[in-house]
Amino acid sequence: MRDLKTWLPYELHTHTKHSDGTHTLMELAKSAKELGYQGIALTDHSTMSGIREREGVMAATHLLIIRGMEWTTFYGHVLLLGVDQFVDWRDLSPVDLQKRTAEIHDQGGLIGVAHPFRVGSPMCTGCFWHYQVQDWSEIDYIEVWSGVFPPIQKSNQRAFQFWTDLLNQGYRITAVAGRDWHNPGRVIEPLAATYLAISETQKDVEDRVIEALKRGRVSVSLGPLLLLHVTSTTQKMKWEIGETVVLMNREEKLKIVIDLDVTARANYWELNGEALRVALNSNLGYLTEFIMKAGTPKIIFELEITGLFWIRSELYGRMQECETMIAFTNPIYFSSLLDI
Amino acid sequence: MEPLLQAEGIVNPNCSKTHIQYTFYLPKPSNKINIQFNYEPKEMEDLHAAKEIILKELGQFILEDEREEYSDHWERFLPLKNLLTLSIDDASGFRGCAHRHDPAQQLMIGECEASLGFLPGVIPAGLVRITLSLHAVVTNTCHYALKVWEGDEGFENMVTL
Repeated sequence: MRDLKTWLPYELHTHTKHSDGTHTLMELAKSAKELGYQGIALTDHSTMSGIREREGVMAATHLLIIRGMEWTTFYGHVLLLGVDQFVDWRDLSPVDLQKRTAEIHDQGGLIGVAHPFRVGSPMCTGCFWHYQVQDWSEIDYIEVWSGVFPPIQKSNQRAFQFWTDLLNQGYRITAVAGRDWHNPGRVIEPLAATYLAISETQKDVEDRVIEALKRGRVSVSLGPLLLLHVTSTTQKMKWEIGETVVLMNREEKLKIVIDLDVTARANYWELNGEALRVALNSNLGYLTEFIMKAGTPKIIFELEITGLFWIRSELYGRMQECETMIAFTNPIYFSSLLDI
Repeated sequence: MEPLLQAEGIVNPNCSKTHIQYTFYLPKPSNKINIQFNYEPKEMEDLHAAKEIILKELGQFILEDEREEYSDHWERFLPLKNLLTLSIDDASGFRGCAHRHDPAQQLMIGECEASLGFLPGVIPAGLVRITLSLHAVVTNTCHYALKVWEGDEGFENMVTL
C-alpha cells in the first residue's frame, strides 16, 4: 500500500528573544499561523533554550515547532534540525566540520547550510560559508533561498547554482527556503514557503518533517505549490519529488506530470499577469518549457530519459513587477537497474 | 561577597574569530549565579577606516562581475560593529549562550529561572567555564569587562569600563 502524503508549508529559519530576535516564541508562532504556515523551525543562534517554551506554544497555537538551532560560527552558519541535545561548535575550524556530523545524525537530526553566499564578516559575522566540506553527502540540506523575496537576490541565485552543481556531481541534497525571521511586523515583500510531503504513517509529527526533508520531498514557492511526478506505464509505477525512478530497460517510456496548486496559501501571494512559464531542468540542462495559464494547471508529456540523473521543475513569472523564479521542486532522481 | 570571577581585557582586530575562556572552580552547588558582561566601543566611528575594511572584505564574498555594484553602495554595510558573545558551560554541560548585540549584558542562571538563551537549574559544584566568542573586532582596541558572582546581590554599578 502506498504511503499517503500531504503537502504542507513550513518556515524553517526563525529567531526569538532567546538570541537576537525581537519577538517571543509565542508572538512568532502566532505570526507564522497568520501567514498560513503549518509549522516553523526554531533556530536561535547557538542556543536551544527556547525549546522549553515549545510545548505550551504548540498547544496554544496548533503550530508545529521543530526543535533546532543555528550554529553561529566564525566560518559559516549551520542549521541543525530535529535535535534535542546541544552539540558544540566552538572548537570547530574551517576544515573539521565533519567531526560533528555523526553526533547530529546520531540524534536523528539534520545538518543544513544557512545562506551560504551572504556577505560575511565583519559586515555579517560568519554569514558566508567557509567550511571545507570533504563529503557533501554528510550535509542534509542547503538554504538556497534566504530572506524575503529571495529569488531576486544575487546571493541566493549563487546558492541555487551551487546546489545545482552538487546535484550534477551526483549528490542528493535537499534545497529549502528560510526567512531568517528575526522581527515581528508585516513586510511587503513576497515570502517563501518550504512545502514538505508529510507522511501520514509516522506517529511523531516532527519526525515526519525531518523525514520529508531528509528524503528531499520538498517544493519551495513564493506563490502556487509546484509539483512534479513521473509515471511509467510499463511498470505501472509513479515516482514523486525526492524519489528515485528505477528503469527496468532502456526503452522504457516515462510520462512527466507537472502540476500547479494555485489554492495553496492563496491569500498570501499575488502574481502580476496570468502567464507562467514552467521549465523542466536536469543534469543535461533545460529539457523543455511551457507556458501555463490559470485554469490549466497540469502538463503531461513523454520524455527521452537517456543520460538523466535528475530532473526538477521550475516556475517563472512576474511578482511585484519583477521577472523572477517563483517556485522550484526538489529533484526526482534516476537510476537504472541495467547499470548494476 | 567576593566575586567568583572578575576580569577585563583589551582585544584588537587580530583577535577576531577567537575565543577567550575563563574557567573557575565552584566548590559548592549554587542556586544562582549572575554575570555582568560589558564591552566598548560597540561601533566603529571612523568612516574612512570602515570603508576600507568593507571594500577589502567584499572581495572575498562577491563575484568579480558584481563587485562594483556592491562597492558603489558600501554604506549599506554601516555601521561596522564589534560583536562579542558569551556562553557558559558547567559540570553538567552547556548552559546557554547570549548571542545578541547588546554591549552591556546582565545575565543570570538561577534554580528556577534564567536569562533568555540560558537553561535554569542549580549550577553543580565543579568547574564553570565562561567563553567569550569574538565574532568580530573592528576597532583598533575593544575593552571588555566580566564579573561573575553568586546570590541575590543586584547588578547596579557592578562593572564600569
